[in-house]
Amino acid sequence: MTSLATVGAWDPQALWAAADALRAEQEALIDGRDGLERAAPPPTWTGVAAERAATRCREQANAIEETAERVRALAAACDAAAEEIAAAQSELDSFTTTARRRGFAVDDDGRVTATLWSRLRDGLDVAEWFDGEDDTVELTAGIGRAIARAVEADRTLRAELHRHAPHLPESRPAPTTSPPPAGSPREAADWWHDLTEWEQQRIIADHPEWIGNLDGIPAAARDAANRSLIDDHVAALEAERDRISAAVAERWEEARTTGDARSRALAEYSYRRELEQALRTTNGKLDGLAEVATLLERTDTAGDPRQLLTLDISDPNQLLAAVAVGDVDAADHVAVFTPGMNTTVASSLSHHDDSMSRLQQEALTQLAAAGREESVAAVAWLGYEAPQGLVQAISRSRADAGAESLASFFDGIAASRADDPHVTALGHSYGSTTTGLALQRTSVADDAVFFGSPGLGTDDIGDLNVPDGHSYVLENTWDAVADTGVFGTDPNQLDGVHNLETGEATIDGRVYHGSTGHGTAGPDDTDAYLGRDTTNLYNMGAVVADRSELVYGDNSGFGDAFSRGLRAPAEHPWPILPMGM
Amino acid sequence: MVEVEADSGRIREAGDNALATSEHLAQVRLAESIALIGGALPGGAAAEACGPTGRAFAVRTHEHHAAAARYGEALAATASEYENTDSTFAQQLRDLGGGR
Repeated sequence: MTSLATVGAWDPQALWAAADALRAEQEALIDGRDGLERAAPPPTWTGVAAERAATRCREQANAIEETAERVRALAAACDAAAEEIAAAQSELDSFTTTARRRGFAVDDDGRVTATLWSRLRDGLDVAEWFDGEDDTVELTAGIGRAIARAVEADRTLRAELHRHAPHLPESRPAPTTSPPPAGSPREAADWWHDLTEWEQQRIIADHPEWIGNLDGIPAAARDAANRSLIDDHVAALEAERDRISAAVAERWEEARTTGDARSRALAEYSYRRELEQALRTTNGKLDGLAEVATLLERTDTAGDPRQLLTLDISDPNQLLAAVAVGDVDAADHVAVFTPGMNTTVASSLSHHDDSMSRLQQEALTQLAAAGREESVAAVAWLGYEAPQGLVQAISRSRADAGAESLASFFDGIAASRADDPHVTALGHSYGSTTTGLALQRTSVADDAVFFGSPGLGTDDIGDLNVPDGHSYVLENTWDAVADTGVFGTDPNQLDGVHNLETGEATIDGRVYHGSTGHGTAGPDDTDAYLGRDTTNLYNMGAVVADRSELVYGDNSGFGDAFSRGLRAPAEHPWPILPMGM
Repeated sequence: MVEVEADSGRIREAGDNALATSEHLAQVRLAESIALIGGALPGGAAAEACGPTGRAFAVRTHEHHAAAARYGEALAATASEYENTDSTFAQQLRDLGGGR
């Protein structure tokens, strides 16, 4: 904690003098730039050499101007800090003078206490001394605020110093300051923000493992770090596969030479199972990495590459990954989609990436129709261990664990950006439960969309930190999972949610397909969640684009879509069983 | 030929300007100015950042100074080349009896 004496020793006048000195240096740099412009090659000199000389001269002048601009910004930061510190010191002086005049003691931490001796010395009675207790609390708080104000000004100036420091040559040693251990996304964002651009680039190059999966770091930096780690991850997993094979073979050899035939047979069965499971997991991760590498070659319609926001091989059972279509650092609207049961990176990422691409396009189309030139990013978040099979899916444990990670991911988006993008959380099936639980831990989402949901981990939509009236539910006909209510009240029966249409609809003269069953759509499907030209995709796009006035469907409790299916058995004689929960 | 003579003079002048600019940039003392910040805030977080930031600026201004010097020297060398070529060609013409 910064002490009273430390803040008292700070010298705003000297800081203003530093600002003046910096401005003088800035002027000297501007003079240098002007001098270089006078050194431009004469116009009568023509040819390749003359062109190169002109280019070189212009580049150097620009570089000097860029340095001058950094210096100007630093001078302004000094001025601002000096002003804040002077004001804080004035407040401190006022509080401490009041405290001491009243006979209170003020320690170096800024704590104000009444002292009996000082009271008696000043001829005041004991009753008044006790009355003074409240005042000491108030004065202590005031001093604390003034110290905090000065400290904040100091920290801001440090951040500006870091931010405006020029890049240094590659030969200089890399920074060794690692991110705060187990810190919050906000702390991670502050740490990153305090680094110079050069330090950030060196960390991406030298320590990508620090930031690739660190919530709070900008998407572009995470993407660069994670891309650079793919080859390392492949090598590590291949080594792990070899190690597993060797270890099991060694143990089998030991068992084979001891014991009777029955025990040897049991041992062989046991080791074979162990080997198969371990190899299956490792190979699954390797397949997933290959899938990610392929996916990263895609671009969106604007030509922007994918962003690899999560790539984690440390989970004991699955590769975890998150890939964005669009630029999460800059998009006006950011959607994060969490899929459900049987999801793996190897088998599902490409499929969900297609869906995110369609969702982005739908949202952009609706924005364009309103004449809004805004951008959209959509993230397929496979950053949790999704259940594999019904046995795992009937437990909420994976959703709870995933919700922690997902909430942190949302907080990281907010912390990494200086502005406040419109954020939509989307969850399908078991992923909707994970999303519902995450939204009980974070308040970053402006809108939430749940589809094919077996429950949100609550019976009260008010438990979600989503603005009132901004939670939406979609349920296809013949989606049996969405009626189970395994993890809370059936979402489309909750008060306060908008139930949106998933059946065929004509909206503004355009016919949208209805969708049925529980699964999400493949690339050409037009009858499933997130399917091309479906009503459900239209509705999700409207929410993601923050155009809720366009959503289509009854929002006054139109009942259970499953029951609609039962009312029309001729179309679907048997309920469609859950293929992906 | 007259044009080349005129160009070489202007190129040399530009080179001189660049060298003068380089000398001017060598006088920039950003690290010292930034150190004043540290002196104003003893024990503060900003003071810790002054050293690395000051060094980074010092490296950068040195780069500006050195780059301007290299550019000026290149222009001066180019001007000399033109002048030498011109002089040689004039001599050759004289040797041929053509004069200038």
